[in-house]
Order: sequence, then structure tokens, then C-alpha cells
Amino acid sequence: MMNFFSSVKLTIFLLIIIIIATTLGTLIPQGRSPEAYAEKYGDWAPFLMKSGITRLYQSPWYLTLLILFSLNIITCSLTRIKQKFKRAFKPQIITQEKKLKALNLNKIFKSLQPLPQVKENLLRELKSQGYKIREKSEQDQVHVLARKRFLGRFGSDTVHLGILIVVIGGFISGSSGYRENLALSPQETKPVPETNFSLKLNQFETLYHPDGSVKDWKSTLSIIKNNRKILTKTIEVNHPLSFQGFVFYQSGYGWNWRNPQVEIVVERKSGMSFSKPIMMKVGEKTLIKDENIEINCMYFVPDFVLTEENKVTSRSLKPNNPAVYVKALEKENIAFSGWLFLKYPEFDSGHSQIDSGLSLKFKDFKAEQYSVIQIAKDPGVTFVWIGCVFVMIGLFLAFYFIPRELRFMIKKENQNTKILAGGSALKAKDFFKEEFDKIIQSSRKT
Amino acid sequence: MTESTLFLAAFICYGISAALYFVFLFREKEKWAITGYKIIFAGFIIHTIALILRTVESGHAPFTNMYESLSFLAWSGAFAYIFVEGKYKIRKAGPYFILIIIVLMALASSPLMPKEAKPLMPALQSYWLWLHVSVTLLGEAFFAMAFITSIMYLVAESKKKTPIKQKKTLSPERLDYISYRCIAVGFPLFTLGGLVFGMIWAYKAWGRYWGWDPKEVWSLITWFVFALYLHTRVVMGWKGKRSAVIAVIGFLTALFTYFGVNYLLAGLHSYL
Repeated sequence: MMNFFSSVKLTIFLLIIIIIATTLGTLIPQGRSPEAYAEKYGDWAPFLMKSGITRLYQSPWYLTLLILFSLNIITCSLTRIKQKFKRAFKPQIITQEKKLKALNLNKIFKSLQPLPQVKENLLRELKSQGYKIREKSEQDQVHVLARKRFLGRFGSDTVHLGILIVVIGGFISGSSGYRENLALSPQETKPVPETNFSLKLNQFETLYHPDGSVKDWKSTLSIIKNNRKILTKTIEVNHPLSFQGFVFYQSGYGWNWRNPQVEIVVERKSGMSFSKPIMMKVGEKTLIKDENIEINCMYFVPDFVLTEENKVTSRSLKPNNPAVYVKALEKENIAFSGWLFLKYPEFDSGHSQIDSGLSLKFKDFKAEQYSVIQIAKDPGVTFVWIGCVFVMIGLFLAFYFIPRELRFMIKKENQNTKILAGGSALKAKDFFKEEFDKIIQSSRKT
Repeated sequence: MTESTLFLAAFICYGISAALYFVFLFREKEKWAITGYKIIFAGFIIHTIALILRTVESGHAPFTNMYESLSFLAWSGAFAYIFVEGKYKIRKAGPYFILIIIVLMALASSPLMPKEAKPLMPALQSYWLWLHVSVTLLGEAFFAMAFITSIMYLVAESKKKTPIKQKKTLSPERLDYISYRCIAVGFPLFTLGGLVFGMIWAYKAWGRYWGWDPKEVWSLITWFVFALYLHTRVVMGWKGKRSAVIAVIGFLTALFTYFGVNYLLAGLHSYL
């Protein structure tokens, strides 16, 4: 069982399966309604939904794949880590000639100098190259183990540890994370679900670019606990507020269409003798005393559209085509009755059944905007960040902190000294070879 | 000098450089490649100035629409080439790789790409835009480099069987090694920029670090493919052909993440 889980072949197999499964989830739209699937896939729809392909990344079998992958990483690392620790902290210093010659870099050379002199020169050279040295003497010979950057050996383990922490974080987020949208009008206070505090929106404003597109939304929020303001902060997109593990995001906005204020300009068609803008709320009546005109603003829709049955409705909650239904009475006779459009001011007269001397224009409207705040609690996120740090440190160690290990046997041979040198590097052999040759060269010179 | 003039000048430099490298390929005289290298370097400097001008004029990072992002990717490609050529002397890969840069520049200047700098939508107004996009695209440029050397490896290997004389300067083994080194640069950059910075920014802007958005998913797939490359190579000792094939698939995945997802799959990243 351990052997099965710790095999790299399983890693390769799982990686390929995960790649295929993950790809599948982008080819089939995720999390749509059963009707949408029925329409797109016909008879296949029930199968797709039952097999979890329509919610692939949350499906039990995808999660099983991730768990298997994690187990594989854990067992792979555990079966190798003991050996690695031993090699790193309690390395074998004594070596045999045969083993030395088997290393991918090796060299044998002789020196006319006595052994202590040769050793001293070699160690000096190694130290100047940043090697850490361990040595052991044995009768007529000295064994030297020179190493640097041995932390690099743990690069891949650090990456794997990081991935595990990220996966754990992901599972925590998925199982106990919580997310909800709260719509707040200015000055409104609402309790935050599952807590003992409330959220108050003090002020909300939308900022625009010169071309009219939205630049940013700013909500000034207060946390209220036991009727006391605990803190106040203005949040905007990319700058949320954090409080006791909860994070408050500027997520959206909308208009409160219950009773917007409209501006209507009343004019007489004959000449410019009379033109009066009036501000009123929907559902109110206004009397223009001097002229004896009564304006009755009856309905408002933000996005005017006619249904197939010729009924007026609003296509959306956005002010794409604002319209008001207005009735005007002049001396108690109906002088105007119909829809006025903000964006199509010339359209009104055609809709009024009564031809009178009055012209009405819908000039402007003011509706209160509300702010949509997303409340999120994600206890897994800390794990994810810690995991990411491990992954990045590990990648750096694995690729750019490549361990180098050199072994030397310095033997006394009559009056001379024989030196056997060997080295092994996992990656970047070229650089290592250069360094190896350099050390050999300079230790021969002296 | 306006940004578009400089962009055009850089484009022309890359074109001349590619032409010189192709001459080098057929004439096999070093001087052509050396001049080509100088000219791509000049193009890179001019391109850098163009990007700086664009940033100053628009007031935000120069990768918020397809034109800017393609231009930046081409710039990253020029950087990657100058870097790798400087280090490993892979002149024979030059003409092919610079061709990729030229394709990117041509796509960027195509009339289909909206060029005007528009004001940024709220979610993009963050310094994470800089970090996330620049590091990711730089990583992808190195994947492209590995792609070219891997293709060259595969071609060289298939020629080996037929008795055509081998060019000494760039042996298949060296191509294989350079592919690996490019991925060794690209993979950490892509992990940091694409995944880590992407998650941090997503968390700041949208309130979640991961949402299985198509772009996110395809970044993960890219990452998995290169993880496969590294494991088969380092642990199982795969080298040469099979390694090169995975590197090619990896780059195509990265390309789809960068380009295909925007046009074929709907998601939050739809603005870019």
C-alpha cells in the first residue's frame, strides 16, 4: 500500500487525470440551471448533472482525486525525507575509491607536497568557494566532504509542503467559508448574520471617469456593536475592510426605485412665454398656481419596455431608459396624459392622446443609490497564503539553490600525495563542472 | 515621438533582426547573427520607451486591453530572448523565436485590437495589476522560448536518423538542456505572477482567492502540465523527445490560457 502511494508513477498518472478532469470542467459550463443543461445537452443532461460534471470542482470524485494527489505527495515526501535528513545532517564522510570514481565528476592527481600541506591548500580553496567542510582522518589518508547550498535538497519538499497547506486551506474555505451580500441604503443599519454586530452604511458615492464610465464606488461603513460605533472605514473596490475574521467588500450598487425624485419641465407650445421646471416625487401632485395647471406624476420605470401584451414594465433595475407616466390637468381638463422619456424627449407628444397647448419634458431624476456589500469569512485563506510562501521559497531553492557536494580522498603515497576528487550535482551540471575544474586546477597549482 | 511611432519603430527593428537572423541561418556567418542581436536589443529599448510613454499617457499599467497586453508580451519575449541568447548563445533559435515576437506585434497592431486607452474599471485599479500581469507574461515568454527550443529539438532529432550533417553549435542535447533552463525560469515566474499574485488580487477585489473562473482554471492546468514536465524529467529521468513534447503542450496550454480563454470561454477575466 505504501509502495503504491509513494510511487512517482502514481503522481504522473494522477497529474494527467487531474489535467483532463480540470479541462473538462471548462468545456462544460458549470453551475447552470437544469433547464439550461436540458436545452444544451438534451438526453445527456441528466447524466451530466448526476455525475457531478456540471459542478465538477465541487464533485466528490474531483475532491477524491485531490485527496489522492495529496496522499501521494505526503507518502512520497515521507518515504524520502528520512534519508534526506540523514544525508544532510549526518553525512557519511568516509568513502571508498570505487564510489568516488562512480560520481559523475571525478579526477585523480598527484602532488609532490606532503599530505598536510595538500590538505591545507585544498581546504582553503574550498572555503573560498563557500563550501562547508567535514573531514575525517584514517591512518594514512584523509576524507573530506565539502558541501554548499544543501538546503536546496529540500526545495521540492518545501514546494510539496506548501501545496499541501494550500489544499488544506482550500478544503477549509470550501467547507466553512461563508459569503453573503448585504444591500444597504445610506444611513441604514443591518445585522451581520452569525455575529453580534451590525453594519451601518454612513455614506455611499459613485465616482465617474470623465467619459462617464464608473471609476469607483466608495462606501463609508461603521461596525456597530451594542449600539456603539466600534470603527469606521471607507471601503472601495480593491480596498476592503477587515474585522474579526470578516471581510467587507464593495461588491456592487443599485438604485432604490421606490420613490425617486423627477424633474419635469412644463412649457406652452405657443412661444416661450412659459417654461417652468418642477421637482416632484413619484406619486405626488404639484399645482402651478399662476397657470392653474396640476401635474400628477403617477408611475416611474427605470428601464422602460413594452411587453408582448402591450404592458409597460422595466427590463432591468438599471436606469437604461427611465420613463415617467404623467397626467397634466389644466383648468380641470386633461391636458396631457402619457409616458415621458428621459432619453427621447421628442417621443412624448405622440403618446398623449389629447392635443393641448402643453409640452412636458422629463429632464432629470434622482434616486437614492444603495451599496451592495459582500461579507465574507474565509478561515482557509491564511493557510493558502502560508502555503504560497512555502511554494515560492521551495521553487527558489529547487531551481536556484542547487546543492553541490564534493568528496576528496587524500592519500599518502611514499613522499608524495595522491588526491582523488569526485563530485555530484543533480541539476546545472555545467556550472558545477566549471567550479569543480577550477577547484582542482587551483589546488594543483600550489 | 508618440507611443504609436515608437511601437512601429520597435516593430521594424524586430523585423530587421529576424531577417538578419534568417540570413545567418543560411549563410552560417556569425556576423549576421551578431548584428541581428544588436538590432533586437535596439528594438527592445525603443519598445521599452513606448511602454513607458503609454503608461505616462494613460496613467495606468500598460496591459489593460488586448493591444497593450500583446505589446507587453512581445516586449517580454524580446527580453527573454536577449537574456537567454546572452547566457546560452542559442543563435540558431533566434529567427524562429523573433518570428513569434513579430506575430505578437502584428496581432497587436491589427485593426481588430482596440488601441485607445480607456479609463480603468474599478476592479483593475490596483497595483496588483502591475505585479500580476507583468510577472505572468514574463513567465509565459520563457515558456515560449522553451517551446521554440523544444520544437527545434524535435526537428533535430527526426533529422538525426537521416544522414544529414549535424550542426555543431546547437546539439539536440543542448537544446534539451536550454528548454529545461527556460522552464526553470518560467515556471517560478508563472507560479508567482499567475497563481500567487492572481489569488491575492482576486481576494482583494472579489473577496475570494479562487473561484474556478475559466482563466483561473486554465492557469492551473498550465501549471499542472509544467509540473508534469518537471516530475517526469527530474524524478523519472525522461529527457529528450518526451520532455520536449510536454514542453510544447505546456506552452500551447499557456497560450490558450492567455488568448483562447478570452474568446472561447466566458468568465470574470473577460476584459482581458
